[in-house]
Amino acid sequence: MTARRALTRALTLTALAVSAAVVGPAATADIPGQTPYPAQKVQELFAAAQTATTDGALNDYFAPGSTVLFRAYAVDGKTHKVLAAKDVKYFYVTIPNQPNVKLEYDPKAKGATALLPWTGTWAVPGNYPGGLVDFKVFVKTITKRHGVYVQFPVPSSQLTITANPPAVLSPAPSAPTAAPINGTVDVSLYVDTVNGTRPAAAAPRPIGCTQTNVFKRGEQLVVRAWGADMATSDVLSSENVSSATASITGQPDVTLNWGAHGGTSKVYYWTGAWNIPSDYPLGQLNIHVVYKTDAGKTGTQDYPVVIIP
Amino acid sequence: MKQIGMGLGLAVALAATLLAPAGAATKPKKVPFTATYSGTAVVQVTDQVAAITANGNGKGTMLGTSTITGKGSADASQQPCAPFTGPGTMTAANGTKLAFTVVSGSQGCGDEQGQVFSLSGKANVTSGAGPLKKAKGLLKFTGVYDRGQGTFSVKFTGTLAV
Repeated sequence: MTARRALTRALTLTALAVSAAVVGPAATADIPGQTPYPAQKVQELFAAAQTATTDGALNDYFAPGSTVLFRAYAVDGKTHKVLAAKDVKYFYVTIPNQPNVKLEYDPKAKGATALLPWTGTWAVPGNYPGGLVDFKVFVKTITKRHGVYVQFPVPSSQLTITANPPAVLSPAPSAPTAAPINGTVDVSLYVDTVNGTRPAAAAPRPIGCTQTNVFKRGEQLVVRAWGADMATSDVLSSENVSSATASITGQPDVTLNWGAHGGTSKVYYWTGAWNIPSDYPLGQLNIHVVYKTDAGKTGTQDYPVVIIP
Repeated sequence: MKQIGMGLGLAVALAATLLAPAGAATKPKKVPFTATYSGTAVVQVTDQVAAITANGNGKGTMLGTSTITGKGSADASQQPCAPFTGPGTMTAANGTKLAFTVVSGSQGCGDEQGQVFSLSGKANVTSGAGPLKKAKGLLKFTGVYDRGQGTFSVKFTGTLAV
């Protein structure tokens, strides 16, 4: 009886592990030759996270001894509800050879936004080895639904510890982004920005495609995004999206294109580049990202960035 | 009384048949269509105009195992997404055929290395043969072209009036 119970428990855990959050994409890709990020489908929970400095500047290069702020959010695949504190059993970050970082719910916490209200910090030990940090974010609801977040597999935009990180531009965006209406979404989105490698009217940064939400005039801002139709769990791709745009005040809409990215192992997600005019107004602006699906659903997100001289 | 009623019904049915507009009896049927193909593609770029030739094998609704051929041209000056258009044909061994034209707005978006292109767009079905002789419709397609390998794969989905 004990052995049978143990077997049942093992099978249950295995089933949970397999069903948690994402389904492996390689063998079941709906579009031949394409591997959507992070998977073909998002199952129980949609989970997304960012790394930033403690003042909220999006950043992925940190020196030993500095502090990494993680901020995250998740959406229930069944209720389509954005998870708040009362919905969650745990929400934490795992970091190789480090204690887990527990994420707390507080949209007003420093570095948090209304859309990414779960935050936690990691003080990088002075002797932490340099290189990519393969962190993961795990979330579980009180209804026993699971989610996991993994980084875009693009090395320059992944959390990296180095003795000589590129300078972080400032100031970080200050105003929080708007929360989803009624706390539920039909289409879940994740949006961030990286510096483009081909700025038209500014010097290239030391490392291209690093995460940042502060840009100089003349630089190239690249919007990256992925998402899921919460009714079907399908990750948004060129197969189920009719249009994807990023609207920027005073500029033509930037079309977000579905394409391959990364090194040797390519994954597919959405990107669009905006060459910031040399005379673009300084200060903070919200990039308004809109997805329209073939099924008639709409997903939006306002993503704040700061333009500096 | 019953005989009069039946007679009236037959007369109405006959009149309805005779008065019906030509072709009403053969109203096109809408069928969901899916097809996937993979094969090789050659792209020759001259003065920023890319001439495309593609040949592949795969399967499609009402086609079964079949081949695809396509020719087109792309504007290689536009990066990272090059728009392209051109005609193509899906053909089964039994002669069933579907001819289409890739319409404006279709594009191939390259990766950072300009080697792997994500294909997306629409194909307007213009004619056919066999069971697809009267096929019409606008199909969505999405796929991949690997420039280094010279290979492509593509998936068509949509609804056809047949």
